[in-house]
Amino acid sequence: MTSTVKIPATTASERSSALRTARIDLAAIAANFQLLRRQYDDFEVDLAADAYGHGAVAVAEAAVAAGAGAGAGAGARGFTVRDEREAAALRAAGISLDLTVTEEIGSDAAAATFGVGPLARRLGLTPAMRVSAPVMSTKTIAAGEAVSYGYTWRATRTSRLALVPLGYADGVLRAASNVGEVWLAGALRPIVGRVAMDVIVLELGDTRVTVGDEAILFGDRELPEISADRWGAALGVSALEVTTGIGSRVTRRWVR
Amino acid sequence: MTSPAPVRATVLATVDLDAYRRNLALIRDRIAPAELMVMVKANAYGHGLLPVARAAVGAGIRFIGVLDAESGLALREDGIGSDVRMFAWLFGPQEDYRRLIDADIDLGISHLHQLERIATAAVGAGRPARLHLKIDTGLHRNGASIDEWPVFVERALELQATGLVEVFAAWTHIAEASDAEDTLAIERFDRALALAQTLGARFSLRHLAASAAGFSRPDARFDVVRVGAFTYGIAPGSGIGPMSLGLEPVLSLTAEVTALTTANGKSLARLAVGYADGLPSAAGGRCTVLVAGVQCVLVSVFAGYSLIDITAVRVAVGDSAELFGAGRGGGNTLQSWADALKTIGEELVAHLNVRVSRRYLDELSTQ
Repeated sequence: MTSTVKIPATTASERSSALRTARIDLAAIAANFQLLRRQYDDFEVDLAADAYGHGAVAVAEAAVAAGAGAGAGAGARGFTVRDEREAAALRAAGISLDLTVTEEIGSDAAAATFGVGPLARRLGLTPAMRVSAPVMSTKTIAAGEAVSYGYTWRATRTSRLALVPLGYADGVLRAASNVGEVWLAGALRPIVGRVAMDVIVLELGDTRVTVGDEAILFGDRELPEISADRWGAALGVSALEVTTGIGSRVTRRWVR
Repeated sequence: MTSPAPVRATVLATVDLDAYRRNLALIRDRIAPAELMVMVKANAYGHGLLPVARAAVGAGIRFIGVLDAESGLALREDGIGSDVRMFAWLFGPQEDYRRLIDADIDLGISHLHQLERIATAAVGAGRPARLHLKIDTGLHRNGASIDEWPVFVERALELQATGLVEVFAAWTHIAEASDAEDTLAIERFDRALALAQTLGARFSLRHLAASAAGFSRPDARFDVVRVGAFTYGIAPGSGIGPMSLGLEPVLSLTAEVTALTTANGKSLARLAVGYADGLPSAAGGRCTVLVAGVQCVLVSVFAGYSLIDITAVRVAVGDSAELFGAGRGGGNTLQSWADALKTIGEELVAHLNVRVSRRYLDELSTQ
C-alpha cells in the first residue's frame, strides 16, 4: 500500500480474491440499535430490503444478540419487514421475534440503525456498510486523450488513471460520471468519464498507486468525509437508497 | 421455471425469452459472417443469468461473455459445456486462475502481471490457459497500451511455447464517441494486430465491437461481435429506440395497486414497488406508468412503495400497473424511462434488485 490512510485492522482479510466488497460492521449496528432503543421506547429494527443491503438475517441476529426482543413490554419489540417473503426468509433462518409487515419502511430511524441518514448524524451513530474494491490496473495518458464511453472527459495534462471494478451494476449511479469522488491513496479522486456497468476510472494527478490498492466508495469509520450520506447527496439520493442499491455481486463480508 | 416461494409477487419483472431469441436471430443475421457473443454480465443485465444463458445456448449461441469468474463458473456448473466458449475479462489482483482454466473459461487479459500469474496457475493444469490479449485503442480503461503491447505479446508467445497458455484471440473495446473516433480505434486495432503478427502471433479470433458499432459498421465486426444491450432490446437512445432497429424489449416491470388514497385534492394509488426494488427515486415526477390503459404520472418513489396520480382513470386495488415493457397498448418502453431519467436502459435493469421476482415467458420450451 502506498496509501497514507489509516488502515483498520480488518483490512488484511478484505484483500482476498473478492472483486468488490461491502464490509458490514455488525458491532456498529448493535451499538446503534442499543442507543436508538434507549432514545425511542417503540424502536423496532427495520429489516426490509435485505436490511437495506446489509443482510437481513445477519442484522437480525446481531440485533437479537444486542437485546432485541429481550424482556417484556417496550423492550420486546420485534422487527419490521416489507412483505411475507421477507418474513419467511427470517423465519427460515430461525428468527422468532414478532415481525411487523408493512409498506411503510425506510424511515429516518430505520436508516439510523445502519449509521446513515440525518438522525444518525445527529446522534453520532456509526456507519455499518463500507464499500470498496481494489485497483485493477493503472495507466498514464497524455493531454488530449479521453476516457470511457462517449469520451465525455479528456485529460488537460498528462494524467495517471486507476481502473476500479465498481460500476452502475454495483450501485455506482451513472449520474456519478464526472461528478462522484472515490477515496484512494489518501485523498478523494474524481471519477473521470462515464461510469460503466462494471468499472469506473479515477484520476490520480501525480499520485502513484499500485494494483491491489483499495479504493473506498464510502463508509470507512476512519473517514467520515466519505459517508454514504455524502455520496448520495452528490447524486440527489438518500443514504438508505445508496446502501440498498449496492448490487448483489458486491460480496458482503460481515464483521462481528 | 418454478418460483422460489409460494408468495404472491406484487412487483414482477417478466422476461420474454421468445423476444430475446428473436433479437438474437435478428442480430446474428445482421452481423454475419461474424459470430455473436452474447453478454450475460451483471446477472444478464438484470434479466437472470441462468435462464438467459440457457436460452442463448438453446438458440445455438457458441460464445458467451460473462465478465467475471463467478458468472462463468456458475454457467459451467449449470451444465453449459466446452462447445460454448465462455469469455471472462474482469479479474481481481488475487484471482484464482486455476479454477477458470479447469473450467475451460477463456481469459481476456491486459497486463504482464496477469500473464505471469496465469502461467503459474496453468502449471499442472493439463490444458493451456486460453487467452484473449487486449489492446487499449483509446477507451483508456483496461487493455495494454500501444507502448506495452509488443512486450505483452512477446511474453505471451514465450509462454505459449512452453504449453502453459494458448494465444487465442486479440480484442479491444471502443468508445462509440463518434464514427470518426471509432474509425481511429479500428485503425489502432489493425496496427496492433499487424504488429503482433510480425512477432509471431496467429490469432484465431479478433473482436472489437459491441452492440451499436457491431450493428451498424461492417468494418467493426471482425470475427466476433460482443452484444449485450441489443440482445435485450435495449437501444442506444438519443432518438434511436429498439423498434427502429427491429429489436423487441425483453423485460417488462409491473407492480400491483395496493391502496387508493387522496392528497392535496389528487386521487392517488399506491404501487407495490419502491427503491427497495431498485426503482430509482429520481423517477418520481419524471416517469409515467400504464394503468387500465391510461398513462398516469408517477408522483413519488419511496422505499417500499410508489404513488401514482389516478385522477384521470378508474383504478381498483389489485390492478396491475406497467412501468415499462414492450411498448404495446400505449405503454412505456425501458427506452422512454431511460430518456426521462437522462440515463440508459441498461442502468435501470441492472439496478433492479435481485429479490424482484422474475417470471419467464418461454413458448419455445413449453411447446
